[in-house]
Amino acid sequence: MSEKFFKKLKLIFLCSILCLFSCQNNNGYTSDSSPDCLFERTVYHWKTTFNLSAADSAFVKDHNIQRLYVRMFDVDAEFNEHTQTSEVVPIATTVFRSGIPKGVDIIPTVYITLDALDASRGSMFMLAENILKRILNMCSYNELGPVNEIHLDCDWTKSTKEDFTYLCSMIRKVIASKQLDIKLSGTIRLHQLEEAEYPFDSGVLMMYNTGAIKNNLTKNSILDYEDVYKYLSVNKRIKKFIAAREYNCPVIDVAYPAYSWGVVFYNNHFRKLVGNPQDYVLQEGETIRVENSEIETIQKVKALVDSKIGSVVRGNIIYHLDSNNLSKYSYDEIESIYN
Amino acid sequence: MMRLKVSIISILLLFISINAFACGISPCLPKEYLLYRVYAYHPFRFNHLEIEPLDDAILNTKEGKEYMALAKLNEVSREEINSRWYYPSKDCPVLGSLEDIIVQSMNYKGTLLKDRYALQAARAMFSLGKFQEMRDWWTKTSKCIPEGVVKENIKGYVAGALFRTGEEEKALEYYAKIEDLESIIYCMKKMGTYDGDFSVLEYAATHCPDNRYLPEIMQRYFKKVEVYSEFHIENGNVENCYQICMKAANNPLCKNPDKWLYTAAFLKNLMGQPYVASNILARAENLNSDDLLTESKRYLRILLDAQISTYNKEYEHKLLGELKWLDRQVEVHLSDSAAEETLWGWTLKNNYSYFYWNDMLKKIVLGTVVPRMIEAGKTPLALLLANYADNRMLELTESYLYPNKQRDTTGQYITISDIRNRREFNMFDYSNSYFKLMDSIDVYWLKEYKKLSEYPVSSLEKFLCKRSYLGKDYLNELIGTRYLRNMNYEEAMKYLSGVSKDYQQKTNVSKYLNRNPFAYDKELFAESTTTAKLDFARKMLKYQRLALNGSDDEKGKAMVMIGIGIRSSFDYCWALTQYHDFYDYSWRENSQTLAARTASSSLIEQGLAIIKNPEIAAECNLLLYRFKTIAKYYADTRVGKEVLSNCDVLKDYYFHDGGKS
Repeated sequence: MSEKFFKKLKLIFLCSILCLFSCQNNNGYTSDSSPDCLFERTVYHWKTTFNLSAADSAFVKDHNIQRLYVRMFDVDAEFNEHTQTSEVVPIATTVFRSGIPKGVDIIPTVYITLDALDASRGSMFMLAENILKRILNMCSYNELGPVNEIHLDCDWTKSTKEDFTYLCSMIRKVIASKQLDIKLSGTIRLHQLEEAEYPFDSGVLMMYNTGAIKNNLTKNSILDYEDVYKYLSVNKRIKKFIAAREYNCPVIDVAYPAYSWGVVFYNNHFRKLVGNPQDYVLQEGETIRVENSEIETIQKVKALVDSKIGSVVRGNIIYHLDSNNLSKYSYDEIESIYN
Repeated sequence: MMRLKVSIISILLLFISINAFACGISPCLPKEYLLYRVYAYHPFRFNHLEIEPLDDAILNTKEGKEYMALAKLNEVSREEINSRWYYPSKDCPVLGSLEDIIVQSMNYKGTLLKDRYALQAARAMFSLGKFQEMRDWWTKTSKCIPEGVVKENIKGYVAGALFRTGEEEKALEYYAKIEDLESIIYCMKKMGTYDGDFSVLEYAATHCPDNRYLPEIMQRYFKKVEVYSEFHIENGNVENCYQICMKAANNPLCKNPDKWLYTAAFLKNLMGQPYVASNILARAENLNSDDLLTESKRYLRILLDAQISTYNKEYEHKLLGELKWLDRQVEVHLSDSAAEETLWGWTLKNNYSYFYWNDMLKKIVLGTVVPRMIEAGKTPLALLLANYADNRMLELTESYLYPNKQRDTTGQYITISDIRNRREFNMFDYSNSYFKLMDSIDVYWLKEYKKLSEYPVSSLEKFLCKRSYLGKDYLNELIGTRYLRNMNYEEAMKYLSGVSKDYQQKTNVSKYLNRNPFAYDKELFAESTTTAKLDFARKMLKYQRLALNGSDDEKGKAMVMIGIGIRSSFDYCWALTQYHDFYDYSWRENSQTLAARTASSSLIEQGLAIIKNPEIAAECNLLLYRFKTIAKYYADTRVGKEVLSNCDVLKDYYFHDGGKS
């Protein structure tokens, strides 16, 4: 056998080994339903105007962002004076002023309020139709690319889970009736960890807004290690979660915060949020609690999540795309979140 | 074979016509889409217009059908695009449909449906947000559109376009011209100038004083102003409202100032200026109005006349005519619901509003005419008017429900006659305004009133008597009671003798009349007397005569008995002189009651001082519960011995004191 032949054989063998390892995650968990073996970097876009600045675009390019969860609209219930009934309507629709960065997949995201769920009882199918149709129209009109996944954000609780689950099933039904190939994903909040089932194909565990924002005694409502620890330290809860992930929602990613705000109080009562706390002028009687997403806290929480749950299937996610906030982090700090 | 040929040809023709029809409407739209949209979506409707539908003659033509299809397509597309859930997409047919409709409509070359096609164009442009284009198009096209309802509708859309392109005031003017008050309110809210109904009225007074929706807003707003005014809240606002009304009435744009003048008169009266109100109303009365306003003007006129007229014979003659009209309104408008509400009693008794025509009659008569009649010294007539105002509805209700005076065997309705004839609670005759007036006025006037009611002279008096409740027992019993209250037992007897024996059982206080006013203790009569008041009056009169003509002992005892009788009749036996002791205790502290108590004490002491016979003295002291006095001064009398032997408490007291007191 020639030397050339053995060299080729070595190369083939090495490549095979590399491929084998890259298809496994750190804790050896694999899933047949895992859509992609490569880590995908994702960021949320949560503004009502989609108009990426140069800095935003640079962030997307520099950190090789492949997916963008773009909030399209919220769904809420409004009282109609004419009909004297509650109507479920889309609000805060995102206006698209700039195009999508090349090579980035857009996942349309919709936030659904509990009032909307409540008002939709008896007409959940119509709501599902409306949501899907609107998303597809928005994507088509604004040239956002094909829709392969829809992401739902809802702060459902035990009492409203059934409604939300039903809505998800109706959306799937509508997707099926139109013979579309669209996956359904959703957010998972810490308090929802106990659930054994999630009504979507993949989920995003939200590691932000972990505290009670309106409580004046809260130290940091965006991300507090102690708050996260309280949830993840209950083994029974974690076991349930891992089991759920394995059988019902095999793809779970984790989203970390990269934003800050100021929480304004008046006589210790919550008054409002301000995006730029450094520019806010306090009125008489007001106090402000400035909250940041400190990288040390993020990393500490990330380590806790990894140890308790295991690392993600697709990739970590950053909330949200805003160069004003993201510029506070160094390149390496952002990379450390994604890696 | 021939039949087959015809069938084939028919099918071919049908196919051709469908295609031609589709192409005629829109060469751009697929036939399937058109058929789905036009024929399968909704039943045909034109709910956005108050336009008369096209004549059948036009409808059956190709032109008519084409138009209807286009209009329907427009309607359906607009409904979709106006949905909150709508979002355009690249291949969405709705936008295309609307664009197509604009083109089709603008390219219409005919004359018959020019205005209707223009309307469709305006509607489509509005839905697409092409406001500036609509304005430009309207500038060029408006003169070519024939005047009419359709053009007025188009103006509404043009006004919307004006508003959305910054010409807000012009838009408001347009809306004002086409009487679109709802859009005016919408625009004012967007502009931040809306301040409730007042701001709308203010705007309307200047720009569209004849708007047909204004009466509703005026009614709603000024009713609130009236209520606040009655409670002396926001008086200044009444003046502002008045100014708006006069501004509108004097506006050259205003073709029908009657409602403004009427309202101004109403407000001026609310401000306590009935003379000025009367002059303003006179202007309104010279104008033609619809039925509702004509009626309202009449009511206000009657009210103002009552407020400003001199109450002489001339006015009484006028009042008769006005009362006839008021009475007729009540009679004509009486309904089942009003009748039932009347018999239920609660609303009528408490003067709550429930039947406009009777409410107005009572408001005018009881609120204004009666007090002014009393001021003019015509109290008996005032009482008769009050009687009429309070009782007319009851009587009319009875004749409405039982026109043949045949009672329903099931007894579904209990009328006023039933109430007056049965021995149960009568919630009308002893609590209405008429009764309260009779119960508070000097008894002299009651006597005069009784005479008037028995022998009416003038036409007005006869009119009122025929429509009032003039039960003899009711009046006699009341006058007799008033005399008892005045401690005039001779006069009381005269009237109480005229009360039938069983009437007392029908009064609300009958169960309290079985108490003995002269008793040692608060004991009841052994058997209820049906003529308690008359018996009491008779006894008191007897005692009064004894007090004047008897011996010293007889005099003394009689005086004591009179004193006890007076005291009881204003206390435990209050039903002899009063009609209530629950809802209003004021009679217990009024001057008449205080005078009675004073008289009672004085008579008792004077009487006791006159008595010489110890036995009689002891008896009198026993009725006054003066056991100590009996024990001390009359121990040896029959009464004294009985008291001492039976009353443990006194015996203890006596022995404790060693018999010294």
